[in-house]
Amino acid sequence: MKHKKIEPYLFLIPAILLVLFIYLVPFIFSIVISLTNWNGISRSFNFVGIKNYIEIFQTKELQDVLKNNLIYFVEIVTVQNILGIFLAVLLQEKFKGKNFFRAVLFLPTVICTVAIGFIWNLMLDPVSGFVPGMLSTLGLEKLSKVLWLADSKVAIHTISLVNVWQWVGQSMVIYLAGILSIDRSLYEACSIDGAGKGAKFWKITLPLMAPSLTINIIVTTIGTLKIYDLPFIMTGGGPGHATESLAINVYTSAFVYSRMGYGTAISIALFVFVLIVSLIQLIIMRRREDAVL
Amino acid sequence: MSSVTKAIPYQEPKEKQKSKKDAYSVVNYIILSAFSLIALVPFFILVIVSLKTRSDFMKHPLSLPSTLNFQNYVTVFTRSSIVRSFLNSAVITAGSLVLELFVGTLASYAITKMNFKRAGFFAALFLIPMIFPVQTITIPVYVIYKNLGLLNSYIGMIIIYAAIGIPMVVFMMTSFMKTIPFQISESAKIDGASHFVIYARLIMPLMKPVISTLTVICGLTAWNDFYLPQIMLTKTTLKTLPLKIYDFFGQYTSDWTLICTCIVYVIVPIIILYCFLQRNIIDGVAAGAVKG
Repeated sequence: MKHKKIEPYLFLIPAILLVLFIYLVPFIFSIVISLTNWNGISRSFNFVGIKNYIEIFQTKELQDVLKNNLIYFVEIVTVQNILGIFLAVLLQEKFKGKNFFRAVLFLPTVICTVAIGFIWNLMLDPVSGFVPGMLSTLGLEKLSKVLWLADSKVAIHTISLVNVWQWVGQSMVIYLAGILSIDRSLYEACSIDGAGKGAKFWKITLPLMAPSLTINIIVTTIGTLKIYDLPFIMTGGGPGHATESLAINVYTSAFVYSRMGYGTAISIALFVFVLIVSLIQLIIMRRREDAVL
Repeated sequence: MSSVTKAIPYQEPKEKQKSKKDAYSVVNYIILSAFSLIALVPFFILVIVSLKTRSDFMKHPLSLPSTLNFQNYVTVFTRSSIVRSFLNSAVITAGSLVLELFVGTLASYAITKMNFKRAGFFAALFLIPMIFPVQTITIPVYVIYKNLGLLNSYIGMIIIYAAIGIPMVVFMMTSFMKTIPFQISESAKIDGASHFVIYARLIMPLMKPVISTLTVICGLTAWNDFYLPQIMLTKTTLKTLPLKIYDFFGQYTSDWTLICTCIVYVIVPIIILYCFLQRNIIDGVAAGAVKG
């Protein structure tokens, strides 16, 4: 009998150890580090209390970075989800080539972001890029002169768009799964009543795909809060700090400027943001889903 | 009564309905083709530039290559140790997949099939990591790894990716294992089979579809990741493919033809795999997102 009680734990221990070793112990450790001025190398350091956290909200640099994250969040979540729904609606019916389009639109999501970032750097290059060349051929001289990545007012929006370009296929596929799980007879009933495409979309498709909307908005929100690869590759956070994200700031603070305590404090702030956003969204979305169904 | 009166005007203009439907699908095709073009053009440009000589690219950056030139492919292959990076990526990805799938399915089996008191607690425990951004644990893990000598090692990377994958594996596995009738494992139990035998012989073979889904999701995460290798792998011989592109760009900043060639080398294997498995990959990602 005693043997039976221990047995489940034998099955669980490897997984528990992994989670403890990579998540729980490091997380507690990071709270401790964030209260120090440790540089990551020396054996001596001082506890500085919440000084690192106060610095986050007082320095101009961090305020800019937080603003950037907000811009990424608003732009990417809105554009990617609207476009994702649009493409999913176009793909919802059976037709020749459906699979081809779905596969092509999804393709960029399986390619590593480092490659995507460099490809788009080339595409947008002011001298040899395809986009400026194309715009100038089309006679849009003014647009062709835009410095997509070097102009500090434009660069962040460019990165948002490239991010949408890469990940819209994922949103589309999730929305498509949501749409296809809707009972077809509802649409038939609707067309017997003489409803058009638009009415069907607003009255049936959109309300009934609420669960996939929840998932997509959470996935894109958390993704944009953690955004790192694309701005790091395309601009390195520049010009100045114009495209720098929180995650990039964590990296540079800790590993470039050797301020482990401060970097860890920012990373914990990032954790809190992710936590808050996902909780808020879950609550709002649950309520809305209840109201609809 | 009302359904009859309404059904008549719906059936009458059949011709009109049909032509309207055709027009709709033409518009559909045009919009989808435009979006597909936008998705594909960057890849065409990439390949075109990789086939140009440097001087050709400098003089006519946007034209098609004057002659097809494969010299870049030879140059990158001999100069960049890209094969080594490919092997590094493969070892780390495969290793983490084996570890997380083995450990995660064992835990899921315990949670769903072993009928013990704290099963619910552990099911919740394994979900907690999902809320941690990887950046929050990277610095402390880096410090721990440094002290344990796990920086610049395959095993260190394998462990961290396996831990990152555990929540997803446990979540999907438990929800699928729950659907397997209890009688199957119970009757084997009565026949005297141990839990490990039931797990390995009875349950795991039924899990093949879930395993392939998880292989896609977790495999892509590890294969494409840039953040962790950038911090944990500083030795040239251990660099993974995304890191290789980044380094190569640093070395040959001014020569787009070589950079593009390097990128082509890195993404072609994934694109080939994608062509064969696109349906499974897309369905896997959709299923993963819906379950997660």
